[in-house]
Amino acid sequence: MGAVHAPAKPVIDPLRVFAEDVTGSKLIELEGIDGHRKVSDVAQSLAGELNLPMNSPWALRDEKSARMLDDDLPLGQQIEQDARLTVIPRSHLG
Amino acid sequence: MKPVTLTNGETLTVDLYSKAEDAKLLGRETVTVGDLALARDETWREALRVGKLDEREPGDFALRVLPGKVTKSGRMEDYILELSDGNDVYQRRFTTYSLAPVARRRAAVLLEAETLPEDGAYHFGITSVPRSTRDQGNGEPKSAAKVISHTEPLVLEEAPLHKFLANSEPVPCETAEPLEEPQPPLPVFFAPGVWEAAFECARRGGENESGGVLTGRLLRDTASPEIFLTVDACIEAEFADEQKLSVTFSGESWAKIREVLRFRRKRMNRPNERIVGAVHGHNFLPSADKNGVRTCEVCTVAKYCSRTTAVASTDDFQWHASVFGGGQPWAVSLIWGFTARGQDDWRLYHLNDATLEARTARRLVR
Repeated sequence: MGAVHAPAKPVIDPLRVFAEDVTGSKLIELEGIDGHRKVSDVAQSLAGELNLPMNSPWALRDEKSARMLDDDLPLGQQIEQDARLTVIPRSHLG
Repeated sequence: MKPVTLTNGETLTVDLYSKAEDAKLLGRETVTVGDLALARDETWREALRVGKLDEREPGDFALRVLPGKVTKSGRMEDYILELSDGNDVYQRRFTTYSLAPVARRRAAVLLEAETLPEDGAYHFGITSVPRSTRDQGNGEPKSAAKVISHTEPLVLEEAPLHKFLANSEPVPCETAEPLEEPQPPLPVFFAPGVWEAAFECARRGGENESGGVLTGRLLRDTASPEIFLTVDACIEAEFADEQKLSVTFSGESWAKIREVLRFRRKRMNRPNERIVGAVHGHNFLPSADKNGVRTCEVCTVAKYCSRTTAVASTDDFQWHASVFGGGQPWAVSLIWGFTARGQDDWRLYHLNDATLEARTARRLVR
């Protein structure tokens, strides 16, 4: 018997989101984001808009669902309109 | 990324040289505007300390990069950053070492291309080259999205610095030579109990690294333009991935930290309390030699142990730049490690010469 795959969630596009850095000291609102863009790509762009270093990789967390977003899937498939995102550095202390 | 154009019209570059006698040129890396972000933020901080510029974001000021003194070899010893707002101008000098991350970026490319010497060692220096026509149109790509800032302006509460100095004492460091600070850094005061709480947070991981953030307030002296920091609390990074040689704050860690901070702001009536630094533990001893010996030959007669793990690593610098690199140049990084003699050892780091440099601290006694 073949596997049944759940249909992919529709992509919301365009998107308006709020993005802040991990310290909570910067908050920006962005309108007109292409919801088909991969999360990893959007994360880098948001880091740039927050004047964070562009030479590190970044991840996104949706604060409403309290979930880290999947880097390889479209942003618009994983969040709702007006989502509040935290831009999190993919780096560690050590 | 947009290359840095000096005021003489040339592009700022970092050259890598062989350590051999011929000092052969191994590679050249263009310095970008992004590479100077920490230096720009530091310049802004120092301007604020002497009453120049204001509390707008460092990126709001006009930035110019001036070439430094050129040595006989043709390289620059340093370069100068200038921030201005049409009225005030402030300049700060940065050394070659401030561009070490740029050199490392080129070194990584050379390593991949197998053109770095076998031992991976190199010297680097600052130079400038005529601007290429390719660079002239190389601005930042425009964002397709409309961006609106909702960032709260920076608030500097007023407080008498002389009272903080009178009510505090230097935090002693019994494991190292006292630090000379010819240019006193931005004063930092730990509130009673916070230094101890930070130590507990750093050591909580046992044999693994653990850490947290330091929260506090930025203050401006009532009698001078000097700004200073009080560290009011240490908030543990829960839900972190703690390993022997690293600690990674997860998305949940940051969410919890911000929740505790929001609570503190509301319940303790500290609306301006913010994350002002981090603490973590290097909970391991310095590595031993093949005979299992960790100490050096003069250990029995030396006053201070020369080997310690309380040292900011490249990873620590990268993390600090990622977390605080968006215009928070007052942030400090406290690292607890061990000396080769097994003593608890600490270093408090701050941003100087666009890198993490050890500095002193004070703690309030009442």
